[in-house]
Amino acid sequence: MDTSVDQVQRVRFWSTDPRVRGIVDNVADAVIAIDIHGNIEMFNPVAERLFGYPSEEVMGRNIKLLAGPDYSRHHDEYLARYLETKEPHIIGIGREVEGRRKDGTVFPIYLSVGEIEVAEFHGFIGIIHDLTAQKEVEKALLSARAHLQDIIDSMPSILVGVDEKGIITHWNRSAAAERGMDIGEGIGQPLVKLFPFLERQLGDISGAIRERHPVRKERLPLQSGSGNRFIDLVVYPLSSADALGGVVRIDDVTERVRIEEMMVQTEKMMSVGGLAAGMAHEINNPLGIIAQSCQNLVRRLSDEIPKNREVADNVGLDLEAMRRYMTERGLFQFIAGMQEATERAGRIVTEMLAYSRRSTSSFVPTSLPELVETVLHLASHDYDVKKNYDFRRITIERDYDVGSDLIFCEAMAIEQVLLNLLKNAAQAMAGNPLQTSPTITLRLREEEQWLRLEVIDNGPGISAEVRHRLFEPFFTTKPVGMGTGLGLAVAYFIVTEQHHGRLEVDSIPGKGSKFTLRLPRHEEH
Amino acid sequence: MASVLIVDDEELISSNLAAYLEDEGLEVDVANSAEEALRKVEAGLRVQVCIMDMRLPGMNGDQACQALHRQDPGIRFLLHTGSPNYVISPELGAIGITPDHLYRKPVTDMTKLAATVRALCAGR
Repeated sequence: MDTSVDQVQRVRFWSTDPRVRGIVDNVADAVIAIDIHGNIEMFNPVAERLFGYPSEEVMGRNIKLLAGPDYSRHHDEYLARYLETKEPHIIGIGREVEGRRKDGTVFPIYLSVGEIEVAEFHGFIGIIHDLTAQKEVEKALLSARAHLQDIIDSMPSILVGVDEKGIITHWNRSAAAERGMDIGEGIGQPLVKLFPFLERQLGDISGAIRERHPVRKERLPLQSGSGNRFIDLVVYPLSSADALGGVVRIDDVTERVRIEEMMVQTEKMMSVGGLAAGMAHEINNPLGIIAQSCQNLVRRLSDEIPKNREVADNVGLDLEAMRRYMTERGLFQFIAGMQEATERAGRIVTEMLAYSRRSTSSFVPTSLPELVETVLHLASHDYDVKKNYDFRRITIERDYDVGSDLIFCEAMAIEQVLLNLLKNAAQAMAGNPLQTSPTITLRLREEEQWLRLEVIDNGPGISAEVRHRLFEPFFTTKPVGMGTGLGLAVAYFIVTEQHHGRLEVDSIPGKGSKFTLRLPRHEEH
Repeated sequence: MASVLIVDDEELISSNLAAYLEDEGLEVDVANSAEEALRKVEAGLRVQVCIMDMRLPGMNGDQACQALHRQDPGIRFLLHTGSPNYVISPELGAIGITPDHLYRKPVTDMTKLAATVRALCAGR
């Protein structure tokens, strides 16, 4: 090209001044000079290495040759616009663009451009810094950051990073999900705005960050729409950062707290057992006195005992009149009431003792279908006028689908549990006059490591509040004197503690209830 | 006349048992402790059946039965206890006491207890 010969022949100040030449040739970045049309007039050794062209090959050619496709397309316009308006977009500023090597590969560069009018030269000097290594580091950093985010996202805990002012700097997916927000939305917001329940903990949180000392608070109760919740809160101050900050970890421990409460309950039941053995003696004596006094009272009003007649005669009493008086004034009923109450108290003591006697229990291989039959036989004789139910009115449906394997259990105890479930079902259905065909379904199944027995009735069902307290000791829905409130508590204890099984209840009020008993199939005790 | 000795530190228990058994036509004596029972037998009280509470101040029911048996091997025993976990000791088993002779408090109906006392009196 003519122009190139023309350009090359021009003598520029950087060629005449060896000091300038020395600088240009020895700086660590590429230095390229172009005239106002964009034609290359200088191309230093670093530029040669970077773009892969020897300098004589690019001299006089347009700079577009070295630019990435996007930049290359518009370079003429940029240049023309600048020369016309003198409004700098890149001149004197510099920015990240893409360069193109001789082999066609495109790579990231930082380009700073200055306009020069020195001596007879008017054009631009570009200093080009290769960003390839830096970009790779950036990419690695980004992927490390994504990986870290992945890690904190996979934590089930709510994790929120905050600065010393309590502004959210990071948070994980669980945290965003708790707020129903997108993961990008929370950053920059105050912690208490998104987690108002932390308002009262704010002092502790900022204290932990300031003092650089972790703070842990357990089982904080929260009021929320869906009933009471409990959280564990831990604030870890950031230890390495120059600026103050911390990570707030929140775990929903509602389920754990519930299980712990249940364990406390079980323990309470156990101690009831321990207490019972000692107390029983003290209670049984006065109970005996009351019951026997009642029996003697009635008997000493009878004609049949000669001594009664003799003493009555001596004091001038008509025994017959006395008895009539007592009947009419309900005195015999009072006495019967005392006897009944004594028996009831005695039953409570006996049931409480069920615990302490359990320790000497013996586990034997048992066929559950046979055990169920035994209990059904027992139950069928359990007609209770007072409790107003008749087991014979109830249809029993058997739905057994199990092998002939025996399970290790304490047969008597499991019988007690099952009898209790059946009686409860029968009593519940008797209390539901709308149910014209009361039915109890007994379903036996194998389920993984369990043998599952379901006792399903079509009675009135159990409300949610009652269901939650069903296995509590001394909780009863039956009229005073009908239940001790220990039946299901003992059943629960027998199944879960003694047999390492499970006892659960499901119910749809109005439709019926289902008690599910699971016993381990392969456990020996 | 058949004679029964009731040993119990609860006076109301002994008096109720005594009343019932007297109404049954039995002759009944009462002691508030094992020591008192031994003194009475020592002093010549003739006892066919002894109803013994097991938890007593001083000498306990178990020792008392053995001591009374040594004094008079003809005495038959009926154990009456408020301890739900009570088991008849081998020593008492050896002098012929069986679970049929064990009554746990509260005995709300004394009919059966009285029948057992009668049977023991009759030497059955």
